[in-house]
Amino acid sequence: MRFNYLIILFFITLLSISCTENDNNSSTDGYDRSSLLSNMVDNIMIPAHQNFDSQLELFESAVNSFGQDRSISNLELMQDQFIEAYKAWQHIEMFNIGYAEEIFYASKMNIYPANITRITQNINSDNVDLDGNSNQFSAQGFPAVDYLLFGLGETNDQILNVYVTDNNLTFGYLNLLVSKMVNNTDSVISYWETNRQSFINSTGNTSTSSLNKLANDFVYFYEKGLRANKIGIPAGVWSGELPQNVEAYYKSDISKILAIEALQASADFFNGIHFEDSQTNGESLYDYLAYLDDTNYSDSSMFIGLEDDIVDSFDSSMIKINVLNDNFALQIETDNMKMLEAYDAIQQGVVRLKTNMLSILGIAVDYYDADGD
Amino acid sequence: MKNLIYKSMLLSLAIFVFSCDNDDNDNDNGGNNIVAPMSYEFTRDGESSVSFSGQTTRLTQAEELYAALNSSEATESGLDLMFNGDANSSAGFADESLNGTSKIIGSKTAASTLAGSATTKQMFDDMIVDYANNVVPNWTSDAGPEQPGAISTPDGASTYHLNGAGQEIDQLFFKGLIGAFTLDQIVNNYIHPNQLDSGTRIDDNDNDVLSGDNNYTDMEHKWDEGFGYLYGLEGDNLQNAGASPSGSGSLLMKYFKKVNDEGGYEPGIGQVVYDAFIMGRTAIVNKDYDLRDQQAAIIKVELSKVIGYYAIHYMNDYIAKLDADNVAKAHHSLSEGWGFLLSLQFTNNGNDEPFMDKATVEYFLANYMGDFHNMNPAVLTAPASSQYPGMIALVKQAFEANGVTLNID
Repeated sequence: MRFNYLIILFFITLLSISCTENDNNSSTDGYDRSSLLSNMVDNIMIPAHQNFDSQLELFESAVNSFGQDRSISNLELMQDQFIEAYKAWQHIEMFNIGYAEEIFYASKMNIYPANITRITQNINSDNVDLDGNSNQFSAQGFPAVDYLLFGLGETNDQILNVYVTDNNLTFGYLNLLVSKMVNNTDSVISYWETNRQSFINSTGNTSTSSLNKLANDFVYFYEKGLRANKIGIPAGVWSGELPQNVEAYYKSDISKILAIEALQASADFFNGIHFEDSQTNGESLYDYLAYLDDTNYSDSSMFIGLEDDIVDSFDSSMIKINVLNDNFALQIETDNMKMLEAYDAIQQGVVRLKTNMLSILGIAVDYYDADGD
Repeated sequence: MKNLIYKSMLLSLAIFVFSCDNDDNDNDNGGNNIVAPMSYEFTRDGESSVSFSGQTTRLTQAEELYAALNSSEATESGLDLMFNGDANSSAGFADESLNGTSKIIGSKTAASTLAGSATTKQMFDDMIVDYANNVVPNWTSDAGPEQPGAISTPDGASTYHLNGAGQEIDQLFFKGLIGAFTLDQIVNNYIHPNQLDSGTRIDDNDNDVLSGDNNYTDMEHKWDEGFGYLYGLEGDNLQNAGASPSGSGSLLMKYFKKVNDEGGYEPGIGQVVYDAFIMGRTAIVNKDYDLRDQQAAIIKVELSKVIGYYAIHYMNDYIAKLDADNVAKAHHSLSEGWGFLLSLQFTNNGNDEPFMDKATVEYFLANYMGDFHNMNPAVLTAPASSQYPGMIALVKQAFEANGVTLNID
């Protein structure tokens, strides 16, 4: 009897799934998206942008000092502050929304490997339009600056020599790139200051609702920005090994630090941890999933305990990244299997975030799976 | 109980489907629903909308690679070229039509979103290195512990070439590809919403927005590509592929046919899978994505069973060959079994989880099947009731735990 009852129940469920139209235009699960959004925006996104902005300005003034006094010590100050700014960047690359999306902010800041041929052309051109076309993406931003600060010679003496002997051509380009980075960042921040409230108020569940965009961009960053760009591509997951494609190749002993920052930024975002106080957290995707878990929203094993499974993925990814060499290019050349293991650990998080989390949240994936024939 | 429900679902689904469609005159596309055709043929404006030529290319490439993994002429660079291509372009094949394409087997090996793994892909690359650098140079040596070489059956009719662990690489590789390549691409990639629904594909399919200059929507094409990884070499047999799958090639279709054959482990599986592909494709045309996903679940479970059956089959066969004192055949069968066991991590229980996961499978292969010259058969044969059940019992249990009974002892 019980068998029959269950089977009938099963078919009623199937029938109702198959024959009714789901209304996906609003969030119907009872969860208060606005408190999540305000925590994300006010305690993570905006403070992370402001922190990046101040690190970038410190870098800009280091560049200015170097402009006035081309010394080894000023070169080194500039190099050190570049690293700080690059680390801070890892916390905002995922927010590719609104004005940032409109101006291709993330692409202009961090597409690598840098295109050295084009950078060299630009250095020797007196009229460079960095916004002219997308081929310029890989000739600007952090990867290009990485090349200009660390890649022009074997030693800092050689690098300095370039800056003092080429009629300001290289410094002029460096200066152009840095002011471009600062201007773009200022515009993005002022966009958020203006649009903060309307973004938080957009609590629906359509492709243009705030959480849909935020969650998509977060997962996209985790899948592409972290998993593919930092680890998978240089480790040769889709081709031969490409150590020259690690992030910050010319200062490649920071590739691990940058990856750790990006992973930490992802985990903090998921957990709603305040940017300025790692001891404090607010409403987050973790809480949203836990809410759905507690309300028995789904009894599929894919979703039960999903919020903790995702946290486990971050933890196991961190363990796998921590054992890597500071210099990913060196790691790839000596023991690439460890890179592949880190890739697999991050990939497990991608499945849980993209396939399971977005599905239970009813959020459509807004970017293509690039894996086609 | 899950099994009972699952079987009931299979038996009743067609009836249920039609009753639903008939009652629902207010469907998304204004009542232009098509009825599922008898064979996998779909048209738009009188022209076929089905395309899976990319899969046919890859499956054809695989046949050349298989032969090369059995050749004393093979080199590491030559094998790597065939498997991984050259700068994202296929290369190294004698059949020129297979070169210079974007179709590369290695790029689709352990590559799905759901079950892909860079370390498992690396295992295949390592096998190529092992074959070229250890097996080929010892082509005429006698194989033994830590000694790559050849081993022949007692009657001298067959000779196999083994690596230092007593494994026949082409079998490890190809039985591994059955899961990591063909099955994985179908059940964990193309017929999953990750592929079918990403970006604007639902909207495009809803509004009949075609993909570029092609006669299909992206969603239709993705489903076809999944179909192609099983049926891509059917050629003229495509219409009959339900009742009589051809068994063409050396990958999933070959063993799918064996399972379906009279006297096979599950005659009739061929029609079930073929019909599910047709019904799923029909559902896409009719914009009924729940029905589509129900059909996908059937395909995932049924095709995964092929792996379960042949993992067990070859473990059994290994024991039988040992009992018959046919050491060469025993190594051969165990090599096939190793590949099918590796493939288990790419199965899909219909709920997007494998019947047996990567960690379990790869731990077993590394720790209990790492040296075929020093195998303890009990790791395969110990009964389910024993303290440490053998792998044969574990595989059956893994399916049973998901409500699927494998008809094999």
